[in-house]
Amino acid sequence: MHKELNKPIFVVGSPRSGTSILTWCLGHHPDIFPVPESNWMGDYAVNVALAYRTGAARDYYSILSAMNIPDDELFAAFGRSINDLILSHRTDLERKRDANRIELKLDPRWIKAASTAAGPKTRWVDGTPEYSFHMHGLRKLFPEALFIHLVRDVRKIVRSMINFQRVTGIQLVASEEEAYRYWMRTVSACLMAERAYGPSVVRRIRYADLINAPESTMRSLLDFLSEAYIATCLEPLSQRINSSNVSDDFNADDPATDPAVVEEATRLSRDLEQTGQPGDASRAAADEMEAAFVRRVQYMATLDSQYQRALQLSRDSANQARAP
Amino acid sequence: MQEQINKPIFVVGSPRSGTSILTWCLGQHPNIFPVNESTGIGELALALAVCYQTKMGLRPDSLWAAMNVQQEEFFAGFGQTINELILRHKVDLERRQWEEAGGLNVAPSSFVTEQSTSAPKARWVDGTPLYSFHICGLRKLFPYAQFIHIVRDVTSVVRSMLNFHRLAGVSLVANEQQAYNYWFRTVSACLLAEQAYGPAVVFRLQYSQLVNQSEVSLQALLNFLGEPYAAKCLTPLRERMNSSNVPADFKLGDPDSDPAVIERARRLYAQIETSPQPSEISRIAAHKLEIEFYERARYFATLDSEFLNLGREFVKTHARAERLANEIQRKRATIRTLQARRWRHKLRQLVFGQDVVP
Repeated sequence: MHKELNKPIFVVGSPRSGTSILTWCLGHHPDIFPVPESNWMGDYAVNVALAYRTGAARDYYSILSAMNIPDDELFAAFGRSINDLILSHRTDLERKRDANRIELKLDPRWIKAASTAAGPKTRWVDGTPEYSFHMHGLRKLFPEALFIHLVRDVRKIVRSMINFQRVTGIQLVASEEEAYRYWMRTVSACLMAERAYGPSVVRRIRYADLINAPESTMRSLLDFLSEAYIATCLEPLSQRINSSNVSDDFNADDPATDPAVVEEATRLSRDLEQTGQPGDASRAAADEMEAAFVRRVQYMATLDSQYQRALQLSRDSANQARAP
Repeated sequence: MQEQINKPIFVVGSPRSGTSILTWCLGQHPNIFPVNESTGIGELALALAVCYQTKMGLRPDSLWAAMNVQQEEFFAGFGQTINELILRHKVDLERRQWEEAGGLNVAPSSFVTEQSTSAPKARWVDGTPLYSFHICGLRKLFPYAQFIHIVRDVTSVVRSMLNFHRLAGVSLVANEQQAYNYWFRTVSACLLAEQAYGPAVVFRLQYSQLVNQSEVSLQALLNFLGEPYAAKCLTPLRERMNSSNVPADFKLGDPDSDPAVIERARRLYAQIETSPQPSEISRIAAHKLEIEFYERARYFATLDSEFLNLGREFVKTHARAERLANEIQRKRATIRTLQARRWRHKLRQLVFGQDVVP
């Protein structure tokens, strides 16, 4: 039991940075298969932390503390459950993907490359951009997980985010300013994780490098993942990457956008083009991420009672307003 | 590796009904070990439901739907993990219990586990009364779990709840009415589970029978659990049962208690005393528990955004109230100005006569 490898890969970064295509590229590797965006594991880590708080609240009288079960063991055990479930159901995923390939707009060649027929596929890769905000929780669930921070020029992202709605009908952001802010938030969260965990856990990849020097970029990426280089990982790039859905004459230049926000994001984007990621892990940054995680757990722990209090307050003030 | 048994036992019912002592009794059995109150597992089941249902959505490409992971398997997978964790750490727990019992006089190195290497205890029993409200979720995590609903007469429970602070230093309930309500809520939840899952899953045990006919009760109980009878299980009853913490002169009768609440609880206990647990499974009751479980999951799934909405609503209402207050102030000032002007006009009329232009 639990002999399965538990080293998932998460592709993080702002939406529209190429997280999906890179996930599929890696999914072409014989040892890696791509899973659909999940977007719940971060919240789940917070819930495991809540359960731990309850289960270890009263020292000897609480099960987890009395049994000397430390929180990292509990997190990792639940992470293994997720890993086991995903690994044991990979063939179901293949079957369903094949059955829904038209609706999902999936190339049959990709499905074939992602299938277990193409290799042992002992690891999975998830390209949920929102996991940029949950890397600390994911590291608790999967202590050996590796993260790829894909970063792309902010102006291109903003254009793509705004245009995304025209093409798919799904609104990613309400305005251009929000697009800039969203990019800033996700990229800043990933940069913090780069500092906290160092380059052996988080690897920054420039989207431009993936396009302009795909082979060397993929070699370095697979080296980081401790997987052998295989050229098939480049196939999705040649098939899809040029199908940009932003027309050349499309201009993202909303006068309502705060120029300071644009300036800040553009400066950060420029910096990222010119500087490499930090060479060492920073204990201070890791502590900061742990503190943010604990604050989130604390917030969730009191949310029910806070909500009930707020409801009561709202009812009281409504009654007061009705009173003669 | 040998597949581990995943058939935990949960002792449920109102607090102060004997859940702890019964947990210890069962923990004496050669195949069962007692774990302390675990509490968090119920919430974890809800959190899983939130993750499974809400967060992943039902799109064909969403993770679990795409992977054909059915809800039952999803929950049971995590239940298996909890079971393995507990079984793996049972000797740690035993050591801790041994240290607690021996106090500071025991040398940690002198600990010897009572777990037999040839036939180790394969099941665990948990006595968290709060799990009375989580039976549906626990069944999802542990599909083969068995539940013992221990029920004690409401008056004794209320007396014990009100005196709990003498034993533990903290109060279980604020007053007598709350104690009656608490008993009613937990017992009602357990009775619903009895109907929903039937006597193969939930076993009702009267506390009075456990005390007065200990051997027969435990024989029936172990039979329900599929375990051979072990007389050792009676030991905690002999050693502990009489350590009541309620003073002999303690009287109930808080005048602030609603008589209807007391009557409702007493009537329910009278019914329990006279009628045995249902022998059939009720689909309606099971459906009701299922709906309650998912409603609660939905509540938690949307709690964060609801709370934020409420906050935004509050800020908006507050801003509107401030605007209105400012408007009232402005209008009051206008009224005062007009009143002053009228007064000055009247004064001029008085001094200079009728033809004065205001």
